[in-house]
Amino acid sequence: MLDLCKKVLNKLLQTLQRFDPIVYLSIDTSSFYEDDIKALRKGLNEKIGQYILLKFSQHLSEGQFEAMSNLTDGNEIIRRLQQSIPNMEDKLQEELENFKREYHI
Amino acid sequence: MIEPATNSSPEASSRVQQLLDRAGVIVDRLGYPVKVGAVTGTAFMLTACGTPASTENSSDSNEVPVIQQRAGEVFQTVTAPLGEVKTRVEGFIADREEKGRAERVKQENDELIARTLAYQVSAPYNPAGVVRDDLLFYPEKHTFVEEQPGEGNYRTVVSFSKPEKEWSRGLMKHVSVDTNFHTKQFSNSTDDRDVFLVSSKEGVKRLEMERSKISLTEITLAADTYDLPTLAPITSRIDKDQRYKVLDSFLRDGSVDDLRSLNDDFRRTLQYGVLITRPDNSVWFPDSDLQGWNIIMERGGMRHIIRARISTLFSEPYVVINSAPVNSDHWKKSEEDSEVWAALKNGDLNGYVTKQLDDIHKQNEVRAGRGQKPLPGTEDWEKIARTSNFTPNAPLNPSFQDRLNQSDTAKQIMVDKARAAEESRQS
Repeated sequence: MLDLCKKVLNKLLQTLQRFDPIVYLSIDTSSFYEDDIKALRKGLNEKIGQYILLKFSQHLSEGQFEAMSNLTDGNEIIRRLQQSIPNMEDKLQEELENFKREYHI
Repeated sequence: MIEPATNSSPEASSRVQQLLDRAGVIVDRLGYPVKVGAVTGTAFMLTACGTPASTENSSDSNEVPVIQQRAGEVFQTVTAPLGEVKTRVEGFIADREEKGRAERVKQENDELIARTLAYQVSAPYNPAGVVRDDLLFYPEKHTFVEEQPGEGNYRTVVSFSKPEKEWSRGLMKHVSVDTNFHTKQFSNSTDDRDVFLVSSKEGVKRLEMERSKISLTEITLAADTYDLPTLAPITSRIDKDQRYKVLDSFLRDGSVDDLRSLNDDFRRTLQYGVLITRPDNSVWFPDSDLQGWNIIMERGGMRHIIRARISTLFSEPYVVINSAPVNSDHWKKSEEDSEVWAALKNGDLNGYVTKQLDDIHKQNEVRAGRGQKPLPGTEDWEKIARTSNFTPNAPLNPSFQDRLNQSDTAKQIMVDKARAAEESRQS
């Protein structure tokens, strides 16, 4: 099931390419090499994706979730999420804010 | 761990890892409820990737929130008795271990346990006039902990061993009572910060320091949390009201002589072929290595086998209670336990002892081939096999005799109950 989570969230994150967690979380990377920054960005994206999916999973049945895992199109995944989760974009933003707040506690 | 960057410094990589760990903690805090499955045919599950369990909606102080799903229904948050949840979690894990291909299931179990049980357990109870509502399950250590003053300071209350670290055999899951100073004995993990080894001088010193923290209440907590039968039968001289005091005394005073004396009791008990039955219809008989008790009991329609053990193996006294719910399927899968149960139902331990002795002799042959000494307890078993007819007619000391006077009746009750349960299941 955790593999399933990762599979879905990776597809989701591919669609959210413009989202940069480093910028979003205001992390100073001035002393980092480019490779470190890439690794950090990739890792944060995964963690934030897990966080959001866990929050969203409250609104999904196991069947819905599994069906989603068979999709290859990130946009389609988002569309399905939108169908299952009212005001998905707002909730996504809300959860991102929640994550950011917890990160800076 | 992140992949090492080709163009990086160790310091920068370390900093990146710290930043990621910080994010990971936030995710972990959410928790992943565990999919427990239908252990006894009742649809009841916590989903591994479902709603994080929350304690907010729990109105009954003895219940914890879980995610339930019946066939065809969506997940919903309900509450369930804490003891039942724990039982099902244990049963589920045991079931998975039974069914699975060892390595894959082990990995999945590790992940399930480590990652999915990270929910706060609201476990108030009142065993001794003390209400507790602050137990946390610490998944990385399979441990229930209580928070202490100071940030991030926790103290182990009850700990499960890791599934792959089977101390006992078969399906047993381990619950250690007040594990602060002996959990390490059952774990090869080197990162357990809450427990420490007592087999070193430093460990013994630490134990001395910690003894003052071990209270009667904490021991009561462990036993009552798991709905174990009274520990009183471990000694023949403890009544119900005093049951924990003796344990407390062991832990505080480290009275090794007392423990040895108890072990002598165990040996004598087995020699006389005693099945000790108690007013609660649990049946007690000595463990195969004569250092503990096997206890068979029924709670909530399920048979449980519990292994209570007092040992001086590590030179420090400790008390460990192993508990696993055993439904009929589990039972049948365990050849040895099946034989034990059959022996109990027949009221005859001869076959059991014969098999134990055969097993011991086989193991000793292997050990001899390796230049090792025979297993401890071999002579005891041989003596038992030679001298015991498992008829309680040998002269006993008064305390044993008292118990024996109850034995036949209570044993018959147990047999009747088992038969009725079996018939009920078959019908």
